[in-house]
Amino acid sequence: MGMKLNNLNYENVIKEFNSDINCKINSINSIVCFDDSASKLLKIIGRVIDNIDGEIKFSDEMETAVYIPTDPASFPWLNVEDNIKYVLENSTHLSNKIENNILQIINDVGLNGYEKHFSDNNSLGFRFRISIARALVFNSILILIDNSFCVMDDETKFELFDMIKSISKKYDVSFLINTKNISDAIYLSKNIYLMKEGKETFLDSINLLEEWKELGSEDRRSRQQKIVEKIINIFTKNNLDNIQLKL
Amino acid sequence: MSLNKIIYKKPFKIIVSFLIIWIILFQFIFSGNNILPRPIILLESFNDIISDYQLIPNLLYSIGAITFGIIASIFSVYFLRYYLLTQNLFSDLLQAISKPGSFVPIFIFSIFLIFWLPQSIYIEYLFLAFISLGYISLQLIDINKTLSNAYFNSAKSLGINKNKIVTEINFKQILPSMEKIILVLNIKTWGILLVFEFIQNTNGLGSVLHSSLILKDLYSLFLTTIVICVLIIIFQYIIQIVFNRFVHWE
Repeated sequence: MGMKLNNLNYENVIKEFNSDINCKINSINSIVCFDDSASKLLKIIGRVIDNIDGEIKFSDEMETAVYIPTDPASFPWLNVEDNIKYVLENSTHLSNKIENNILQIINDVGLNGYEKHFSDNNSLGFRFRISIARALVFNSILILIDNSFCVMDDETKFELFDMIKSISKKYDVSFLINTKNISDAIYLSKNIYLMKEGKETFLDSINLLEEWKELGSEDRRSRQQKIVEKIINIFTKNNLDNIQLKL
Repeated sequence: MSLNKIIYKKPFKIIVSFLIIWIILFQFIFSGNNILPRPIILLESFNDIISDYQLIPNLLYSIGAITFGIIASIFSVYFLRYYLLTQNLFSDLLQAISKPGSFVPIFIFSIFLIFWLPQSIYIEYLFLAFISLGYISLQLIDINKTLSNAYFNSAKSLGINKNKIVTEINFKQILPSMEKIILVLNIKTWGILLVFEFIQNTNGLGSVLHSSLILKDLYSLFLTTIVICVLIIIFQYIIQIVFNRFVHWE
């Protein structure tokens, strides 16, 4: 599955933006970005922002991209099961909605036994799992995650990374994740896109499988360090000096 | 715990403490005074005050007015929530109408209403309902402006239509804040009600206060005041119980 972005314009953040995003089935991709532009791009793809100039073309029938915002967005007045049912009953996007087994989805996002549980406002991991489950009730989807992990502690974050990897394989779902954390992007993704406000395309894209092959003789830590340095160099060349690394 | 929180969370304890201090001071120390009544005499004249001033019917009349005002306004807000939570002529008009409220006291409006309809018993009920509706609506509009976009963005991406997002998601997002709004409204409406009834001087606890003042009856004045305070606290408790029961999220 791929996605072609043609001449996207939104406010002054995204200008004449053209690019291809390679979101193969089962793939997890990240956009590393230190301003608002990737967040806006994800909102455009996820149909949160409409009335924009330009167009988004999906390469196959898959036209549903679900956006998960930075702040938790599961409804705290509904329990886990009802959160999913509510989306299924009220969504107007898809005509070919498939009612997957809700209990199976709940189990796969790690909420087995919590079907009737109401989430606590501060339980970010729990609420994120509900958001993923709500996105999974549609048949074929691209899930867009907008910096959701920046507000979580490391333990929760890495549990969710593992969940995302297994969900991606089991449901044939692609993920496109906006993050400021280069290490997270390297840990999770197959492709990393680098983005900066006002540019007409991505600054660069890095295919991590190819990079690993090139650096095959080195140990994991040093390979990761070299990728980080490469990403920093690309941003530095593009006049972005204030990169805050969180390694 | 700050003094405000103690007063807010334990109002009955404050009232009981006040009554104990009152009994000690005005029964035993300042027994011959005209500041507050002597407890023993108030107790003896309790039945007379209730019958002379028709305290029970007036009390029920005031409770009816407050209950009607708050409940009618809550139902109205529920049915109008889409128009209140979206940018449209209705919400703009409401905000424009409320502007004079910042420099014209609400009591002025009540004086005019009493002047036009001096004997009407319905006008008080309608006036309170209208004022409550205006207050809740404006607070709702203000809170709506500060809501996080996360629910809206997520719901929109999931394909939920705007009407449902506003009426079901945004409204429920605001509901927990409504508790504080209605608690404040309860106190405000009691103030407006008492002034209205005091000026109109036909029915309600405000008219009892009016008569007590005219007759310089300190005992009736004091007893009515205690009754009003206890009623306000009971209403606060009921509002909190209802919200704790039905609004479990933050």
